Amino acid sequence: MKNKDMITAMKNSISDVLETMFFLSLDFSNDIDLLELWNTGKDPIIAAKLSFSGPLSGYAVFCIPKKSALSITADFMGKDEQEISDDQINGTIKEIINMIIGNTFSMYNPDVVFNLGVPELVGFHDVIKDLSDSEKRFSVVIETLENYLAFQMNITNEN
Amino acid sequence: MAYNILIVDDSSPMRAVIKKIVKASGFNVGQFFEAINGLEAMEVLNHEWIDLVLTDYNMPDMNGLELVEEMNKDDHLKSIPAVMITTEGSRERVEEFMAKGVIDYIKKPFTPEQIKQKLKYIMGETEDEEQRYDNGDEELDF
Repeated sequence: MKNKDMITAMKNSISDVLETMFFLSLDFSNDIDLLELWNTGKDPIIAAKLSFSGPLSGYAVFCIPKKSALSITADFMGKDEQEISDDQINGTIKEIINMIIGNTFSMYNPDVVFNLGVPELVGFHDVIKDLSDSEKRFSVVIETLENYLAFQMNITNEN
Repeated sequence: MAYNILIVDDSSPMRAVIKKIVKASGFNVGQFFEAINGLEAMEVLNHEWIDLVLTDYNMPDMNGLELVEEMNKDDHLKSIPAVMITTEGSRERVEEFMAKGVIDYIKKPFTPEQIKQKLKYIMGETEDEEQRYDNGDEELDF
């Protein structure tokens, strides 16, 4: 696996998905301790997890403060925030991770098939690791105008 | 002619957004129907007149490809065009979609204009083959 290519595919995919379908202006940030920021507990964090298998196996996690998730869902559905239910927020976050990971793999290598699982919501403290990169883990901190989001891919097996 | 469209996706926000885009595209829709997976879609298909199926691929219980395979077992249902709306982008997967009877696919993320162009082409409202793969420069206000 080419680590640099994977990080590039992840970033391009995140930009493609969040800008095209969710109208977010974003940048990638390296200089913030997101886990410390989120540990204040001021705004609950929603985390979605998606498993994958194929030439690479593992799972991805997408984390977003609930306030931002509400705003994104309202914009996505063209509704006022007061009209948005928790189910709609959760459905939108699961759709985002599904799109990001599917798009990442087709950008990384369109000639191989990855099988994606069904996205699920999880407690973010239970799944997100240290946000630094390693041989088997790729992390991206996303900075939007309102907030920070995080995307992490954990590789558990390379075939 | 007004078309009855069945939208199959386990994500309710995605179903709502696809419906909104199709409406805004000016496509002549009679009635929308929705299903959360292939099993539910088959129920709808067996009880309602449907002209076009827009289905997600990755769904629990029965995925989009399994739905198309089920439709192909029925003489009437196999004549209904099914379009896959999916994050799946590998060449092998797309070839599998087409080999198993999917008439076309739309890759997520998509723009409203891409949906509009695809639908017009699929339902024979444009002869322009190039529009099938056009990303669309025109802004669609929805």
